[in-house]
Amino acid sequence: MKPKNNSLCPICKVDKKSPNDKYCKNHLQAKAGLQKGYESWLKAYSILSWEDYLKQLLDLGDQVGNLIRDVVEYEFYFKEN
Amino acid sequence: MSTIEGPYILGISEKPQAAQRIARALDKNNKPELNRIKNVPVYICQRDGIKIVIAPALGHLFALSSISKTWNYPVLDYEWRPNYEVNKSAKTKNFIDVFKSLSKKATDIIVMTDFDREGEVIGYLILKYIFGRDQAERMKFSTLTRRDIIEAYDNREKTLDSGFLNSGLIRHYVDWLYGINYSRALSSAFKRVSGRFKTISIGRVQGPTLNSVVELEKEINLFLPIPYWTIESEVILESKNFKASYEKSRINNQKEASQIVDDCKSLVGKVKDIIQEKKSRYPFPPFNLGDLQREAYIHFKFSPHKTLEIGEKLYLSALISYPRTDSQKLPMTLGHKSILAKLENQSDYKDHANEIITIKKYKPSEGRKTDAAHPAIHPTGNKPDKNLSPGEKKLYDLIVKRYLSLFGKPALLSNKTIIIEVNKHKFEVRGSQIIDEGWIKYYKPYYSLKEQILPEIDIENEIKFNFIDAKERLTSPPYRYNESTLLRKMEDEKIGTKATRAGIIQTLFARGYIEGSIIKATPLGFAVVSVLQEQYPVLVKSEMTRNLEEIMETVQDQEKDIDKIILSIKKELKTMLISFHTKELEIGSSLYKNLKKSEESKIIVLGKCTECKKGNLRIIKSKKTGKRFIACSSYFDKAIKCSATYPLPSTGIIKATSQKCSFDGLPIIEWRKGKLKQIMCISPECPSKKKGD
Repeated sequence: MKPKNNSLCPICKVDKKSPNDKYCKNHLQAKAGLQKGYESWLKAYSILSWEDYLKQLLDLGDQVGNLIRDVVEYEFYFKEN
Repeated sequence: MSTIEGPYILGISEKPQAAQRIARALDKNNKPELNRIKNVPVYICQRDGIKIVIAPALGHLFALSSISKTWNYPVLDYEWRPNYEVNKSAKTKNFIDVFKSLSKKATDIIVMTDFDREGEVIGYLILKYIFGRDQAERMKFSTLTRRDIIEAYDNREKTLDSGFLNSGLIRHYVDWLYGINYSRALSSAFKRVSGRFKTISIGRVQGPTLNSVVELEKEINLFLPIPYWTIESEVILESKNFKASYEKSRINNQKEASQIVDDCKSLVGKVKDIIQEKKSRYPFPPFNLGDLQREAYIHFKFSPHKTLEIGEKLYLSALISYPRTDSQKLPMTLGHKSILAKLENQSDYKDHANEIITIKKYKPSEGRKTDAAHPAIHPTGNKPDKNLSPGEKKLYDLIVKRYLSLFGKPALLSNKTIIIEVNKHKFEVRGSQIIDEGWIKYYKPYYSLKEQILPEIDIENEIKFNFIDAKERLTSPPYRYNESTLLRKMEDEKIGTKATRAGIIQTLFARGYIEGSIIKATPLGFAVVSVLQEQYPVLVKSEMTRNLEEIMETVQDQEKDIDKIILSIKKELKTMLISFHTKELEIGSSLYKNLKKSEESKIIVLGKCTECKKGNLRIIKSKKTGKRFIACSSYFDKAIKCSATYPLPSTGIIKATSQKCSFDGLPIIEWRKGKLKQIMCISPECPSKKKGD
């Protein structure tokens, strides 16, 4: 089995700035936007779990920006991360 | 070569068509004699007993070129050389030869090129490098009508316009210096790492413009829609239905939206207030180039470049004034009465021109922007011949109607707002009635107003609603640029000039950095910007080029020593290039990585999915295994969740063919590996494969 390369972003295989980072620069930015967006979605629906939030974003398809969608797909399908 | 007898005054015009117009206007019988020398049309006219020979250029006859023959950077020394020597496709040799031969018997020279920076530079370079002098008399005109040309001839200046000349020259030097040096620097950085040569060019205005497209694309890629609610409602007024707007246009919480609907479930309200007011709407300002390019894009989808091209043709046909102008001013000296009288002779504009003449209102509305050389774009009144192309007809009509609208009265509207309260929640019904169309009738179909006449209602009347509902919505991502909005962005950023912006957008298309009518940055455009943003941001930020623009503008307004300014610009550029050189390896490897990635990331769409019939079948590279396969784009669409996949050979090059398999309707692909080539259906189960087809 090929060992995991910790220096690459698990989504796009681009170099991460630091091995401790979860993603590359762009996907880190997307992740931050995703977290900030959760606050607005929570305000909108009053009750909403992180998982339901991701599910709803997945359902929106192309209406969600590509980078955010990458992170949503990754976080939804690879929960161990 | 020339057999024209001297002595004569020699006129230098910018283009053959302009030469013909000027010659016709200046000749005492309007019939100048045409001589073709080396296939270049040269006109001989007689005026007040003086012989005038008018010969055309073909735009620029000279171009900047590096003195040094070696391919490296920085390149700071340049010289003007005949255009055909620098650019092998330029067909300007004959034009230069004709000027040389005509120079021998000319007693005087008049520069008759377009009156702007480029016109001044074209004339100056011909004077300097063919006639060996740097001054001549100058005719200044804004239209190619007989009246303007004769006036320009009678009142010609003794010298060229030094402001235009200096600012024109400095722009050529600066653009050349930045263009050649950074293109060489980027290409050299790429070659140093990859070992292969690839032209990667970027100009001082192209960089920030491309950056704007890329930044917007990034914003769209990072866009996350946020839910909100609107209250939608409809009221019945005198048995007619009208849309009512809730007092808050947007509600950010589902509970609050439901509460509002719940509070209003009686669907009955009372009129609390009626606001009536008269509003005037004034005509839009006269067209300058930017406004014309935007309006032509809105109504005809003409790119800014196409609008400028058509505008120039209309100008050369003496139908409109000079289009490269910033001005929104139309001074009375243009003779509006006479232009309107001429428009009265054109059937399409007869009635409206006649109406304006009857009212005797000859002072047009104007905007704020000014231009030192030319007024706003306006028709000359000359009647177009029947040979106008459909595009020319459209643009001409737009320009004439905009011009006519400037003489109209303000449009007068009566607006009415009925405020209805339902259980403390306020709703508004808005109506509008046109009292006087004013200028709008002259500008139709390019602008119109919609009327909604509300019935007479009294305060405290009871009003019934058909429905009051909450509608869930999502915020939308920003719109991508089109050519028109990108041009506006360049204007707002103060980069480029009215004459160059449209061309710069075209160059970005031509270099493969942007694509589509809804403009998107290509992977190559992304790669170049992301490297520059990281390693050398000065080339993609607007500040540097905006500062340069300001410096160059001051040259036009004041008498400044351009050699000194160029020297300081060269010094600064040299420092920047030295800093580039120290980073060349990093920049090169970053460029190489990004370009490689951009080439790899191009998604190949093969065709529509035959299973779900909604998604596209795309070639995808698995992020886990790195292997490629074909999958349907509707996989992530919850409603469809199409799981159609097809395997692909793990090696070799695959191309889409846009053909469909006759057995199962699936896309056919072309596979190549070395000399091997196979055209095949994507399905491994396809009967064509079993048959061995």
